[in-house]
Amino acid sequence: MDKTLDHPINPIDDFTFIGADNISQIDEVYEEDSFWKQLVKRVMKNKGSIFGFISITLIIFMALIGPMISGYEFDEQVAGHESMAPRIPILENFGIFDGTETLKTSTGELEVNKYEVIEGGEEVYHWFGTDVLGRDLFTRTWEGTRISLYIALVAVVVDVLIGMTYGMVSGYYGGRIDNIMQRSVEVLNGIPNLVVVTLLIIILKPGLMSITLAIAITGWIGMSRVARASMLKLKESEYVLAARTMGAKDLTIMYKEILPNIFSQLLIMSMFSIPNAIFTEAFLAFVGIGIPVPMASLGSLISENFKSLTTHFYMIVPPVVVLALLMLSFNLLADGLRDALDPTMKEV
Amino acid sequence: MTKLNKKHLLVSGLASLLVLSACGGETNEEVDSSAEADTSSDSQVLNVQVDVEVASMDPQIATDGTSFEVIANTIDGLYQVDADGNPIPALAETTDKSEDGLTYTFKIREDAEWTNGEPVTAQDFVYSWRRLANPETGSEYGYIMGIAGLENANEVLAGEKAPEELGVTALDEKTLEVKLANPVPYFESLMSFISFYPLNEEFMNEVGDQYGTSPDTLLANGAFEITSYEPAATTIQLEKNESYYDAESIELEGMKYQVIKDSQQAMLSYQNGDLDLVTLAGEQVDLFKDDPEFVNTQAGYLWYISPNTLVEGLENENLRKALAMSFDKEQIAETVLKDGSSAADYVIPEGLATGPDGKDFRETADTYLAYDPEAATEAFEVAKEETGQDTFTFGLLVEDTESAINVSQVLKSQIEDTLDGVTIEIEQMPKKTRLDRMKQGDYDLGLTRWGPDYADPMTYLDLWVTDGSNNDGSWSNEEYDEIVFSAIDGDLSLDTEARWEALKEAEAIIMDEAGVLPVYQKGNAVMMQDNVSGVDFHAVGLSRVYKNVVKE
Repeated sequence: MDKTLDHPINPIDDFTFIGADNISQIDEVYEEDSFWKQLVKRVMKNKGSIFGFISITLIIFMALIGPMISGYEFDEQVAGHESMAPRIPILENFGIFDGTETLKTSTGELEVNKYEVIEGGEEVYHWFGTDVLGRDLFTRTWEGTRISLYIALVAVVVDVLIGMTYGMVSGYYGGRIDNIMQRSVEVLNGIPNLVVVTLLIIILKPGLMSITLAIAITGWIGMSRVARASMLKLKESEYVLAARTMGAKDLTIMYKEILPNIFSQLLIMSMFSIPNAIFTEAFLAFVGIGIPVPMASLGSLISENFKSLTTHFYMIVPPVVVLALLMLSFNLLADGLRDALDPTMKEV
Repeated sequence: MTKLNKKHLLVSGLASLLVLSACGGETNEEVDSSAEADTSSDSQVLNVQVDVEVASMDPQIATDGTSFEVIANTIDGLYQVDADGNPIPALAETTDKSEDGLTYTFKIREDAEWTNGEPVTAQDFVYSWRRLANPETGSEYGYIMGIAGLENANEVLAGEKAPEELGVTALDEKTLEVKLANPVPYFESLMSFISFYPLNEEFMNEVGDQYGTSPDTLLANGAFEITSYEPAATTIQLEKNESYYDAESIELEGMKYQVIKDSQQAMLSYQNGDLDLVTLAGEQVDLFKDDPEFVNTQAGYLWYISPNTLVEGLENENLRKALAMSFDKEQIAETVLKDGSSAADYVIPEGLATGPDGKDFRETADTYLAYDPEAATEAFEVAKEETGQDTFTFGLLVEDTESAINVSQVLKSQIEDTLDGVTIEIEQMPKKTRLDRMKQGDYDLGLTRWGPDYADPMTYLDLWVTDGSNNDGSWSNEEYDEIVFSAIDGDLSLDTEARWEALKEAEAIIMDEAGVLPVYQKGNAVMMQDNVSGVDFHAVGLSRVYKNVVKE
């Protein structure tokens, strides 16, 4: 650099500013979000899961307040109000849901409006109509939804309490304990679910309790397998070894070190088990071993009103729509959660 | 989805297609056979829907209406009922009744023969009657031998005497003599009841326990013979029996029974023209009641709640009365059932029996326990004081049929509304389980029914005598027992008019104590194609008889 320059330097040729346009990589600094905030952000990107979330919220809301705002009790049989078609205020002015129904009798079609026939019928509104015993279907549908939501709750609780713990313990201790625990799960899993439920109902009285128990007995097996598999993968990792070296107890390692790392998988798993549980309950109710009459669940409503399918079509629509919507929504939400939390599970 | 998954799908899809096509062969055959049935439905084959399977083809074992109906198509008894429900001779050519009414001598038709070519003999009746009374047969209808009043019947039933000592003998091949211990005014009506139908002893020894399990192990002497049957079959085919003594007057070439439990499905089949006769349920009645093919018939079945008087609380007469008056029977019959059923404020159904005065029993008898919420509440208050209890919880056993479940829900709601403090818990179960539990007395309240076997009030009244085999609720009243026993084989059986009055009294006793809580008398709503005529509907014994059916 001490040498004198032989030729003049053209400073413009040697160094040029590359300018903002040509930067190929730039580090963007993100605001650090908590786990939950990230989760919400990612789920929000998925339109399906937003739909699922909103409709679940709506259904829960209606299940909570529906039976209260209709003005009828779910098992109240109003004499004279049997088999009335839906009638909804405001909408009735547009010629739909005004309580008219067309009966396809063998001698021709017959249009009837029972609200005009019964005494004081002008003031009566059954938003979803009534069933053959004169019970308000709006009330019964939401009452039935409560049962389905309760079953959903039971499924999650059972998954987390029994399935997760069982799988984690089995995976963590391994060896003989794992062997014994896994073989007993296989035995349990080998008995068909329907057989277990039928046996339970013979021993116990048919009712919510036996369905809850049926789900509790077999519902957690899938979850325990996922928990065990994740545990097997993680228990050999360095940070677990580090924790153990520092004297951490087994429980601490399991619940403080490993659990937070497998939590997303477990969350997804339990979300997927909800629609299954709801469907199991509906199925049991439909074949007649569900909750006892006059209580209602979506499945038992479908089963009851199915008998009037060819006569009063409107009766079966509300429980079917709610059940379908509920299952679809839980599936969509679980799907969104999976994409957000653990894209690798898509292959499973 | 990855490629691997797609391959998997393809493979499994192909596999399932293979499986499906394997099934296809069978389904095709099924379609073929039903197509055959379709063509035959144009001819003289009557297609009938029933909602339960035939339980037994054995006349001495069968207990339910459907079995009776099918058996009666294939076997004739001494008597049958005509279109008006009166007993008329069938296999009996002549009947001689002794003056004291204690000896009947039946001459059996010369031209009556079984489908295996053997003639129907008096010995066939002797054999089947002894079989019915023999405790070893285990017939639930064995006791009806005692009702018929045969000599030594009760002793044979109790196992004290040999079946051979039963008061029935074959004087010669075609002459049957029956000796009664006491006059039985409805004896001829009883002779049309299925349990008294004959069986061929030789054939029975040949097939043994296998009787009635296939067309080969069945023998007919009636209007039709079975060509396709197996236990619990969903279709049963019958063909006209050419060797039947009255074959000339049978117009039908055959019959086909189909078991369809769902009334909507049955109706769709009917509308397709696959069925000629179906039973309607509840809501469907609204759709079809104006149809010219719609037929409403009164059935004799009485539906009632049997209270188990051994259960704490239900031993109280006032509580039972309160329960009996607390529900609106009219509403149950007219808005829930809709099939022509009527509210029952009695235990002897309407149209069951005609008395010596030529009038129906109900015309001259009182009604009891009508719906009356005020009287019910009053009786309930008394019951509360007497039992010292304010709240009662009872289970209500019901079978899992549509109508029974609906009725029980109305009962629950109305009883709980009227009687503040009573809780009803509905327990649904298959009919067989319900019957078993009621037989064992393992119930509080049970919604049950009884169909009349013969045209006399006794078919109901003898149910509730102390320790009776059908007295599930163990209700007991000495005076009642006395009247019933006296009317069966005591002094009252000799004096028809006094007996009739006494039977009314017996009904009054059980109703005043609410020994059972009547609910409704069943009606039947059926649809019958307009080219079919001549089906006889009866309230007593056989509910449907097809001998006069014409299909145009």
